[in-house]
Amino acid sequence: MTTDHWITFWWYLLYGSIGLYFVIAVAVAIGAAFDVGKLLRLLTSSDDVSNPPSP
Amino acid sequence: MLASFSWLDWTIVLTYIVAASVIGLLCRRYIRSLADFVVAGRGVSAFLGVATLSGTEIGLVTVMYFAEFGFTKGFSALSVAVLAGVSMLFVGLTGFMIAGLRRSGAMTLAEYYQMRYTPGVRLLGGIIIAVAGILNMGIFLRVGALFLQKISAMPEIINLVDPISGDLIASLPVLNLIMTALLMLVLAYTFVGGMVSVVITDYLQFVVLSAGIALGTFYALTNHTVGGFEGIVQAVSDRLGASGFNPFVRETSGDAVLGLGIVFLIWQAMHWLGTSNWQTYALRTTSVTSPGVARQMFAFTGLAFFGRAAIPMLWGVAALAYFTHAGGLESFEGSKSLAAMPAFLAEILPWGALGLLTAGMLAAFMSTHDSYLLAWSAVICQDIIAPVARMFGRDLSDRTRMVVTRILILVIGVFVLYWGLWYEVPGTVWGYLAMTGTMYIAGAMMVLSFGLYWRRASVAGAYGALILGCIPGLVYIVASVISSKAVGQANDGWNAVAWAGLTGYPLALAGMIAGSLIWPRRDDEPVAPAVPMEMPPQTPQPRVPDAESLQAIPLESTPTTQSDSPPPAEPDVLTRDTDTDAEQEPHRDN
Repeated sequence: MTTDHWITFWWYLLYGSIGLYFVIAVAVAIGAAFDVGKLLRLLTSSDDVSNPPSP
Repeated sequence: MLASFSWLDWTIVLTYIVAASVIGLLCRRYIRSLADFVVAGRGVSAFLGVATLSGTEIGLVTVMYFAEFGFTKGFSALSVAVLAGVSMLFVGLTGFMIAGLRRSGAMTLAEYYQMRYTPGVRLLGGIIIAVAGILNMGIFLRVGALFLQKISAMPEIINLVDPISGDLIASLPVLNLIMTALLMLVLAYTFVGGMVSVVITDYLQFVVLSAGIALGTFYALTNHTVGGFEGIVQAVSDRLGASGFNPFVRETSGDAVLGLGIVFLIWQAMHWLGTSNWQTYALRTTSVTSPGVARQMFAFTGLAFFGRAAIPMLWGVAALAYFTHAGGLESFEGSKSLAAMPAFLAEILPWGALGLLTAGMLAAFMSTHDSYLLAWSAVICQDIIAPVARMFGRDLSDRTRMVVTRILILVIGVFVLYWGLWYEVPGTVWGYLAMTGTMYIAGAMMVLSFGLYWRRASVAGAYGALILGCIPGLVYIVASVISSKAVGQANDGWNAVAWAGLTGYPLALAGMIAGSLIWPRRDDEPVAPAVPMEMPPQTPQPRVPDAESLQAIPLESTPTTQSDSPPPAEPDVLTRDTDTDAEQEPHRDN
């Protein structure tokens, strides 16, 4: 590969990586917002099960 | 040049610090057991797993060392981004090692060593994991503090003067003060909140960090002095020649040796393939709800990892272009190259953007540091102290282990501060981090993968892999402690860091195979929880275990062990979770 080939390769890699990173970042940020709530509910509910209210 | 860091920027940074700390401290109410503290009750699902793994592994130190790598190696540095992304993607798509680790039910990697081999392997593995990991994070504080100092225009020294007499009382190095302040900040909420705190603040930090990265990238590419992609290409060509574009080229220019070379690239390929064993990765693997979710997490994170390396490297080569075109490149030669990227950002970013990016980088620092503190303290407690205590006939309770883990967080924090203050890194920061990582990864990769996929892997093989795998890295670190300058010269002359790093893998492989063949596995050795490599599920549905399965199992008993029964001799499995993928497994070799 010549230097020009390498430059072309890095151009696609660089801009592709940047684009991909931000697409994933937005998707993950939205998806994980729901997961945070789910995790906290899960931890709270497991605590409730391990300490059931007295009759 | 740093006059642009305004009151607005400080306000943004301080607001972020307060918000992250408060959220972290509030997480304390969710900590009910050791499983909650260390693996967040195994309730982390796919999206949150990606956010927390990315948040942890895109640290300020990551941004700094990749930027330095881009600054010194040009576009060739991006080859590491390719190797990192492809390796993680491969692991995610195939489930190589991670599916078996998650399915085993182990909480830490060393715990798996005991399940598959013996308590002795676990102890040795735990010691190597802890030593390599703590040495690895030993320079995080210094690198993070350097970034903050450079980007916020703080002076090198603060002079304390007597207000009455005007006499000089003391001169305090600002870098040391920033290191101490950062450490105190992270210790506070990691100490209190554990893994729940880490996971939730990681999410916040992932969002803030992504916004900061977007701003930094936009301004780096559109800055007039940098000259866009063409301007960067021109500067790299002028400064580094062909070695700045072709990663296989390693050439001499005057006294300097430029480029990476094939030895370095092979080492990096091995390093990144084994990185899924790195304790912070392994801890995420054991924290997710199922092996399927672990694969999804690694596949998505692999895609993000192209950008994780490529974006800071872009900042680094953009800094090279900026200082080449504007002048001042000589200020960042040699060991000062680490400061080039923050100095560049401080020059080009406007008010507000500088504060947001700094908050993002601070977020990156905190998210990495808290996870690493928790990971290494958990390893020392679960895999070194608890097994040793058991040898002396004393079983540590859940509560005692939490107390010990918290004390260890403090102790490691103090060590990291001490190490960061006096240790001088030979060569690039990335070389040091990859080398300390190899000390652990080379042996761990062989012990885990052969343990999962080769029934004949024996205890002797595991010892051989662990010991031989860590020797080259240990020699390198000890040599650099004795003479950092000599090791730095060896790096320039014959690529000592690459040769030492690469040697660890064949040595570990030889240790595993030779040990297993010469001293075969005995019939009474633990049975391998062997699993086949798998493809991702057709319908990836993150499954959440029911509340019952999330309850912590008493530490010294399995679910079927009565409280008045004697504790099982082995394995010392901390938490037996119900594996939701177990019923899908084609076969299990036990």
